[in-house]
Amino acid sequence: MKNRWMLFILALLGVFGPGRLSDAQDSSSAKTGLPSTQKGLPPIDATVPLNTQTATFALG
Amino acid sequence: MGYAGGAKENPTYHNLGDHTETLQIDYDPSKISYETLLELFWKEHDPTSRAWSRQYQAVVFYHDEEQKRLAVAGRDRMAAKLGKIIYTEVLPYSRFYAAEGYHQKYYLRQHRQILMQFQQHYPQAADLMNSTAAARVNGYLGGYGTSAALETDIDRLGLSGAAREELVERVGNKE
Repeated sequence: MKNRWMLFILALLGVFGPGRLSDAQDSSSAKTGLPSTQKGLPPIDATVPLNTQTATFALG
Repeated sequence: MGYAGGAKENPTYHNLGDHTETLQIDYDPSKISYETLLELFWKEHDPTSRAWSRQYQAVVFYHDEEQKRLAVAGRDRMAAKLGKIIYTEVLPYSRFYAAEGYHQKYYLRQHRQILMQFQQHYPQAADLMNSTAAARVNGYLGGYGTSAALETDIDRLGLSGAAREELVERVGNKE
């Protein structure tokens, strides 16, 4: 899927992974913020920015 | 990765209904702007290519009026630049359903040793999906990024031992 290609590029640009959502879960009800596992997080995941925004694309 | 734009509730890959395959990201606007994301979006697909199914149409799903304004402006610029019909749509965001686990972190899933370390950090599939480290390693394993970039990243990715060595080796081999 083309979407994967863009996602890889975004990941390298420092953008987060896909939305903080649970599998097959509506985003309006998904929990956001830090993942539930707190111990031994990869350092890049241990600090969450105070302000995040969401972008949604389909690349065909 | 997931599905959006349709009315069907709880779509799946094999029962997608009227949804479109979609990617959704949370980003830090102090590090990257929505304009930059849009530039990538326009660069990474052919907006003059007509979608023959709803599953694979190109769409910007805007979350607010500012995103809408920027997306429409970008579409207008593409139309003027290319002089062709632009089929990419700009639509209001409504709901996003994350795809099944096997659609997430595709390249990472091809590397069991590395994946297992991430699964130790994140036993829950949703947490793995939301990990910036996992997304970034997935990108490296997909062939994006250089050894030099990885060198600056590697200590932040939470990998150790053989998994760390495998990532370094794979990225080196792709250059």
